[in-house]
Amino acid sequence: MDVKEIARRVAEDPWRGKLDEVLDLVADDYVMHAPGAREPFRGRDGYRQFVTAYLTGFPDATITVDDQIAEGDIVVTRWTGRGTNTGDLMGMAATGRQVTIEGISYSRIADGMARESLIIWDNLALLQQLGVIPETVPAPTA
Amino acid sequence: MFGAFPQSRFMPCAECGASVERGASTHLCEPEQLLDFRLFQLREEIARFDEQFSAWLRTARGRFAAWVAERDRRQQA
Repeated sequence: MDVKEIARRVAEDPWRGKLDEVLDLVADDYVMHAPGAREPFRGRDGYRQFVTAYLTGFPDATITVDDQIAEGDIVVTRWTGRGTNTGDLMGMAATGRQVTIEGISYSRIADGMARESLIIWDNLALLQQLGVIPETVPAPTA
Repeated sequence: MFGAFPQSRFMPCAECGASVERGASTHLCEPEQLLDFRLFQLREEIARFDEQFSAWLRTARGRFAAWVAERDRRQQA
C-alpha cells in the first residue's frame, strides 16, 4: 500500500464503519493536530476519541477524498465531509441539519503507518451550517 | 481582507435541512428528507406525546377505550 492509499484509508474508512480496521494503519506514537483542540490527539486512542466525537454528532458522516499530492513520506489530502447532525456534538444539541465541510490533511506516513497529521477544516462554515453562529454579519458602518 | 464576513459555501435548506451549495440554481426538497427533518425538530414533542398517551392508556378511561377499540377491530375482522 503506498502512502497515498494509507492516507486515503485513514481519512475515509473510519466513517464507513471500519474504525477498528483503520487503527491498524495508525502508529502507537501517532499525533494528530486539529483546530481548536487544546492538546494534540495521541496514539490510536486519541484517533478513536477524535473520530468517535464526530460520529456521535454525525452518525451518518462520510469523508470523500477529492485530491491528493505526495512527496516522500508526506501526503496532502483535500477532502469533503458530509453528515447529518442528529446527535449531540461536544455539548451542542443536535439540529437535524445536514452539513458539508471541506478540509485538508497534511500527513506523515512512515513504515506503512500514519505517524502525524495536521488537519485543517472550515470550522467557521461548520458552525454557520449548524446555526451556532450567524451566517452573515453586517458590515460595520463608519 | 475578505471584503465581507466569510460565508459558508454550503448551507442547510431552512425547510428540509439538506445541505445546499450556495448559488445552486434550484433545490427541491425531497419529501422523505422534509419529513425526517420536521419529525426531528418535533422529536421532544413526539416523545412527550408518547409518554402522555401511554400514561392515559393506563388509566380506567384509557383501558376502557383500548378494550372498545380492540372489540371493534375484532368485529370488523
